Amino acid sequence: MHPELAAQLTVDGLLLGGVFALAALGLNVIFGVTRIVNLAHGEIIVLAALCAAVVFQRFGITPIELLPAEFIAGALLGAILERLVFRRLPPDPAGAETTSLLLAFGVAYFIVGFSLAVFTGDFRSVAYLTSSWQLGPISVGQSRFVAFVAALAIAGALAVLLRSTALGRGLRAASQNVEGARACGIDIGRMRTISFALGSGVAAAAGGLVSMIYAVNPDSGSQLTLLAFSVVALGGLGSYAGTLIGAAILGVAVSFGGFLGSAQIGQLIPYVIFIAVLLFRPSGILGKSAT
Amino acid sequence: MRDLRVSYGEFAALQGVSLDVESGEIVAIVGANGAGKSTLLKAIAGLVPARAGTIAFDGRRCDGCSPRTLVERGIAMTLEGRQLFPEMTIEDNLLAGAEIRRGRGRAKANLAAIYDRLSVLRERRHQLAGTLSGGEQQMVAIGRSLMSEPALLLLDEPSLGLAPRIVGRIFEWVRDINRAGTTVVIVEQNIAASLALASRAYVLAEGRVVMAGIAADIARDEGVRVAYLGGAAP
Repeated sequence: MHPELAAQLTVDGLLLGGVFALAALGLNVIFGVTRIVNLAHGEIIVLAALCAAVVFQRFGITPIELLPAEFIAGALLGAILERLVFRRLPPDPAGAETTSLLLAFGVAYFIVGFSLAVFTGDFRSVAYLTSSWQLGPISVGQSRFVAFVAALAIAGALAVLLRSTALGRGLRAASQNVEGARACGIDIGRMRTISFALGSGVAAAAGGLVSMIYAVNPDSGSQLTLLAFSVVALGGLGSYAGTLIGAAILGVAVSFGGFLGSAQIGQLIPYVIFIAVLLFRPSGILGKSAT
Repeated sequence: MRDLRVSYGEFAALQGVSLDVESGEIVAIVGANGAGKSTLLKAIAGLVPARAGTIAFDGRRCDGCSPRTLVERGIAMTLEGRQLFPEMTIEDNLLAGAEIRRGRGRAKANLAAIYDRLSVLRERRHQLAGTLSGGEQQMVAIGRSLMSEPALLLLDEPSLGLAPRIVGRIFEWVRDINRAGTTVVIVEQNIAASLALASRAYVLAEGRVVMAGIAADIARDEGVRVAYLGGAAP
């Protein structure tokens, strides 16, 4: 392969990785605190992307301008889901895992049905910043670049929230030792709601950015869920740095796969990586070995 | 506390336990494994629900309250096995004890007081709690409880798995905490040490109080030792 082409594909892939990382971070926040694998995560991303596309078409508001509203709407949806659905899981921790998976599956299908009814099955995207910058031999798509920068900014804000605020300390405490957190007077129920709100808000923001890169329809959700899972699998659950690295690797892999094979083969790459990591390195690339 | 009953499923862990703790005391609760000692502390802290009975603190009923409410009212518990947040720094672990309103405003001063007493924690405050030795973890666990400025401190097996020298330091610290005005209820498998620390003691067996009295008397009572505490001489 020509080195300039390889460089181009790498840059494309890294830019893509920013949005992947954001999607995976939301998933990680929710799983960390609630131990619920939210299979509806991709559907929330897609719902937000479809909203962004329609709002841009109707009112000319760009996905970047819409980000705060997307985040708030996503957070509200997440909080409602936790309070209305996931909170009602049986208290028995053994049974709860299976039940929560099935519940999340049900929620995912509910959102797909809702999106189909509202948005039809058409593929939508936002034609915003469609030109490119030319940096020597490499061309950088403006929309991809802006989405990448926005994704990193949101990921950075999330990191600051988790690391340096009292709320973040409470969320981390609840995810690391529930009994210890309860003894400190930390309200676990509240932390679970907040983690769902935060995770879903971030997912919705990622969805807004996805609309600038991909065309999606209501059925695209499961693909994005799997993408987010692959990033988490690569980076290791609960590892912030791992998630960013996993997202970069996956972005580059998708970019190369799409060029070397076809768009269809490119789409297969996340699945292959997901399965391979689970088989050979189940704790992720940076994750600690399972204890 | 009056006639407290706690069950896990079919298993009745506490079958009508009554005990009184006066402000400013150190009370030890001793008994064989499975006697219900930990359950008793957790019930007071609101971490397990009581099936029947009442608990009053400071003259007000407090059974059925959430752990958060109880911490706000001044009851803090240091759990068996420390239960720290392993991927958080020592300082963040301690600050997690001041997430509630009580003590939040004075978190900095309380943190400094703990560091002054245990300089090893100040040196390592940016280290992850999971990397500490057992003794250091126990210090962080007790320190975390102190961050909410408790009036009543519940200690569950603070000496578990620790070297005797460290146990001595921790018990010395507990005595100082008590002298500074905090009431302490301690559950221990190290019976001799906890009876030496406490003013009064209760002996628990199979979910019931079988004996109560001055700690020193119970420590001397050969019959109690043989019947309820595993028989071994200290």
